[in-house]
Amino acid sequence: MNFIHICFSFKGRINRTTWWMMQLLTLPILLIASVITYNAYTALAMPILITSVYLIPIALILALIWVSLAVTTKRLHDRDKQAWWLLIYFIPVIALFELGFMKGTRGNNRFGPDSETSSETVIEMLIRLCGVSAIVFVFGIFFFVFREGAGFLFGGLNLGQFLTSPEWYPTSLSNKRYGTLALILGTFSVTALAMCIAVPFGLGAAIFVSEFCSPKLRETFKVIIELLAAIPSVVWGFIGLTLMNQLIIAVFNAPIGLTMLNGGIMLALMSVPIIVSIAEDALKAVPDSYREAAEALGATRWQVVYRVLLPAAKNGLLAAVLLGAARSIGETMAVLMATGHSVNIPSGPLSWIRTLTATIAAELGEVARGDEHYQVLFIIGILLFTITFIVNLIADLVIKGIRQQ
Amino acid sequence: MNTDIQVSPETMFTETEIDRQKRRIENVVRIFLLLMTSLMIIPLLLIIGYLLYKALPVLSLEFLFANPKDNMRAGGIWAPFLGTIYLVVVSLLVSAPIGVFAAVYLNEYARESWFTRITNLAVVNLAGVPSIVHALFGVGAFVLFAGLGESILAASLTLAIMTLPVIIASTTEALKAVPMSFREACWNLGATRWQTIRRIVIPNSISGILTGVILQVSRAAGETAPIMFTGAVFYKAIAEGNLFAYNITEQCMALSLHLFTISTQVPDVTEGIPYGTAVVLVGSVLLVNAAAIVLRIYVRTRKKW
Repeated sequence: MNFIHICFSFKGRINRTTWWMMQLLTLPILLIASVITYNAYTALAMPILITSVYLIPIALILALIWVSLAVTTKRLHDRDKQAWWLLIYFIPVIALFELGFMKGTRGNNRFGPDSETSSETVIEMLIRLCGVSAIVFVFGIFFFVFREGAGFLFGGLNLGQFLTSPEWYPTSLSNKRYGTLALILGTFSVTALAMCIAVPFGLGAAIFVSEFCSPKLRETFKVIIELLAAIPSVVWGFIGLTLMNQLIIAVFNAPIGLTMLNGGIMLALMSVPIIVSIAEDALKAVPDSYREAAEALGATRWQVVYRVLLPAAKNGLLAAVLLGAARSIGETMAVLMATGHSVNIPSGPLSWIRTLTATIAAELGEVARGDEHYQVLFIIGILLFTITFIVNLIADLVIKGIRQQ
Repeated sequence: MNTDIQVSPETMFTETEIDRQKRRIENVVRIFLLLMTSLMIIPLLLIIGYLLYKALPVLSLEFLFANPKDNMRAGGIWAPFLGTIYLVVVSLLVSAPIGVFAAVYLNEYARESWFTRITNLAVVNLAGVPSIVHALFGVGAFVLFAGLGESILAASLTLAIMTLPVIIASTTEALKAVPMSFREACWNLGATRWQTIRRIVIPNSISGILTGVILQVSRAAGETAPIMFTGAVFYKAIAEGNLFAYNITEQCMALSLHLFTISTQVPDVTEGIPYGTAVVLVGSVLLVNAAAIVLRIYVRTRKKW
C-alpha cells in the first residue's frame, strides 16, 4: 500500500497506528495552512489576489476532508464495517474509541487482506519529514528574521553606514544613526580575546586527554568538561557580574570590572569544552599505525604528538577552533551581563564594550514593532546568522576534508 | 659489504645525553598539559563553591516553594521554577519525537547523496545559530506570524527548534552504536526496514536516545535569550503550590530570566537571593547532566556486544 493509496483511496484496510499517524500528519498541515492563509488575507490588499488566494484554502480543506474520509473509511473496513458507519463521527468519544483503539479483524475480511503492516508507509513518511525538518528550520530561521528586517534593509537603510560607522544612536530624537562598527568590533575583539585564552587551554587539554591520560583519568576529565559545558550562559554572566567583577577590580585596580577582559574570560570558559571535544575527536581520528610507526622509530610521546599527530590532525584542530569561535560570537547572556554594556570602539582589554548579540537582547524589548529601530535589530540578526553560518560552513568543509583523505 | 656497527649490550641500554634530554622534555610536557587540563576543574569547583557559599543563608525548601515578594527583592522562586518546568516539558514534547525521527532518518534511511549531505549540514548549522537569532526567529515566526503571541507555547517551540540538534546528535550516536550485523540478521528473517528499527535498533539504543533527551532538558532549562521575547516575562504572580498554575497560551516566568532580572534590573535585592536562584539553576542543570552521565556509564557496562 503506497502513501497516495492510504491518503486518497476508499478501498482496502488500515490499522490503528496508521489512523493515528494520519491524524498526526493532517493536523499540522491544517494548522500551518490556516495560519498562512489568515496572514495572507490580512497582508494582501489587492482584490484580484484575494479572490485567487481564497481558492487555495478551499481546495486544501476539500482535499483534507477527502483524506480524512478515506482514512476513516479504510479504518472502518478494518473493523469489518461498511462506510456508512462514518456517521459514528457524530458520537465523539465512542468514535475515537472505535477508530483509534479497537483492533481490526484478524486475517482477511470482505474488504481486503490483514492490515498488520499498513502503518509502515505512513511512519516512513513521517520519519522522512522529520529528517528534512532541519533544512526547513534553517531556511525558516533565515526567512522569518529576514522578513521582519527586509522592509528597512531595502528601503532606507544606508548599508555602508550600517557596517562602517561607529555611531549607534537608534533612539536619538533628531538624528537617528544606525552604525554597527563598534558593535562588530566589540563582538570580534571579545571573541579574539576569548580564543587567545581558550585555544591553548583547549588544545592542551585535548592533547593530554587523548594522548597522555590513563583511561580512568580520561573519563573523569571528560565528565568534568561535559559539566563545564552544561552551565547555562546566564550563570556565566552572573559569575562575571559578581565574582569576576570583583577580581578584576582588585587585580587591575580598575574602576569597574565589567570589561572586555571579563567577558572574554567567561566566553573562554564557555568555548573550551567545545574545543576540547572536537579537537579530541580529531586526534582520535588519526590512525594508530601513525603512532606505532613513530614510536617504533624511537620517538617519545611528545615527539609523536608534536611531529606526527598535530600535522596529521591540523584540519580537525582548526575546525575545533572555528566552532569555538562561532560559539563565542553567538553567545548572548554572558556578554550582555559582563562586558560593561557601553557602545565603544574597543581600546584594550579593560575597555567597556557591547556586542551585536547583547545589543539585540538589550533593545528588542523596548522597541515598537515595525519601527526602524526594530527592523535594524533584525538586520543585525541577519548579520549574525550570516557570520555564524559561514564560520560553521568552513568548519564543516574542513572536517569533511579530513574524512576524504 | 662490511658495515659492522658495534652495538654492545652495555651501550645499548645506558641512557645517552639525548635520551635523558628527551625524557626530561617528555616529563615537563606531561606535567604542563596535566596542569592545563586540571585548570579547567578549578573554575567549575570555584563557581559551584562560591555560589553555594553565598547562597547558603537563603537556601531552604521554603525558598523553592515561595513566590518572589516585594518587587522581587525578597521571597522565593516558585513562579520562575515552575515556569522553567513548563517550558522544558512542552519543548521536550515537540523536539524529542522530531529529533529522534530525524536521527532515525539520517542513520537508517538516508543514502549517501548530496541531499543527505545538505541535511547533515543543516543540522550542524542549526546547532551553530546564535541563541539570540533563535529568539528573533521565535518572535517573527511564532509570536507574530503564527499569532501565538508571547506565550509558553511560542517560547517552547523556539526552545524546541534550538535544542533539536542536541537530540539528533546523541540519537545518531546511539543508533550508530548498534552493530550492522543486528540489522542484517533481522532483514534476513524477512523483517521490513521499519520492523527492524522498531524491534531491534531502537530497543538496543534506547538508553543512548534517553541520554540525548536528558541533555536536551538540561540545555532547554538553562537558555535565556530565546525565551526573553517569546514568552518569558519578568514578573507574573501565580498560586503557590499549584502545579497547574500556568496556562500554555499565557506568559510565564523562567528561572534563567529571573536570575538575569534580579541581578541586573532590580536594585536592592536581598543579598543571597540571586545566588540562591543561580544555585538552583546550576544545580538542576548539573543534576540532569549527571543523570545522563550515569545512564551512559550504566549502558556501557551492560552492553551485550
